[in-house]
Amino acid sequence: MVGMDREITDEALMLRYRDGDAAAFEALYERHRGGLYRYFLRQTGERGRAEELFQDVWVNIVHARRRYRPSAKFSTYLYRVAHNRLIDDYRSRRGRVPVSFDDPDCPGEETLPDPRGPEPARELERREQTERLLAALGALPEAQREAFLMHQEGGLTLDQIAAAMGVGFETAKSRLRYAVARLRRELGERDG
Amino acid sequence: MAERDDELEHYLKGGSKLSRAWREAADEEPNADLDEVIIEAARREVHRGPKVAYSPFSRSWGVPLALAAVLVVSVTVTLVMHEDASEPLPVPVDGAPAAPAPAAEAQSPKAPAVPKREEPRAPEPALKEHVRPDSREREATPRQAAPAPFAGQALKPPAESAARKQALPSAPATPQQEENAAAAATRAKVEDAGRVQEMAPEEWLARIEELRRQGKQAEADALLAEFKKRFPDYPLDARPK
Repeated sequence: MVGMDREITDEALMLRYRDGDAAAFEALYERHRGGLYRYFLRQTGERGRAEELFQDVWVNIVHARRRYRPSAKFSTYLYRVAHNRLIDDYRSRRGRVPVSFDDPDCPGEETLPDPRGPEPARELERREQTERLLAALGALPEAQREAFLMHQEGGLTLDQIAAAMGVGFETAKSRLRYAVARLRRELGERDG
Repeated sequence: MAERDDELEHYLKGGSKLSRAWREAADEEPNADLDEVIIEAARREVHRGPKVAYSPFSRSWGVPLALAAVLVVSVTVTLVMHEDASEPLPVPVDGAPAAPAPAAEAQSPKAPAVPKREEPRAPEPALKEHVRPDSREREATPRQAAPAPFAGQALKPPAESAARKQALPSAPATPQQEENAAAAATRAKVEDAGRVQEMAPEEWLARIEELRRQGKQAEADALLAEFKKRFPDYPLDARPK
């Protein structure tokens, strides 16, 4: 979309956009559009809802551009806005926030498929692997799934995940650790 | 727990099978229409200019305050113009001294007090606006007592005419002129006393006789002539000589 230099940090691009450079926003958007979209798509499981939330977040960023201060990484800021929007969506649709956001010690582990189930075939088609991975991700508690997506799609570190989700470092770490363990078992990963 | 921590560390480094599998799986992207909507919104926001320049106060009160300010200024200007229209217009007087210019005074503080004769100049309406005294000063004094820019000078005889009058006595005059002047002076004295209308004919005659006794024949003659005008039917048998 825009051939902006990759050396320029997200924060610098956002500052440029704050000061009136629309092209800087396009570069920033290009960097994060896929990850943020998949974050919502995996969390909601519906393309229409994902698009709605995705658009809401970007419009929110656009309207708040003059208040932007680079006190944290832009990706942390972006996923913090996304997390808040997702929580609002949970409240409006379910009337409550999923319990997994309240319990850092991975509730719902029992609902996961038994990792000691039938051995997957040695050679799996990429498509089959992807389907299983997505199914496993969908079976994760929302909070664990969110931690995984923030790292995998947004590139956030544990500290940044904690900041974006509004929880402590240990809580974020616990959520991500459980998510990774379950997904690895689903993939049959043993040695990485 | 330690095993899971190691597992997490390995995953966070990004080289795990899970990471690779995820990268292969994650290929969904937002559609182009959605991209366009968001990019367009971002551009519009930039072109809309700074929003923080308008505080909530200025947003809600800016327009009413501006209208009120315009109204106040309009009323003030209208009142000032009305006052100016009701003020007596300055009477242009030939040779009347112009209003003292502060700058000129500053330049020649030791200049003689005698006003220099200036060329007659046409009235300058625009100048009136500039030399108009401060409105607060005008309000502080009664309106009729307020000095109009040229009113005082207009009532006074022109300086040139006064000088000409002062020069008259030294000029040679005919006897007839002297008599006329004396008669005028006498009539003026009588009129100034306010008694001309009230004096009875006998008093007129007594006055004329008195003047003749004092040797003021010209004045007596002038007064007699006036007497004849006023009392043409009065018998002058006992008319003073």
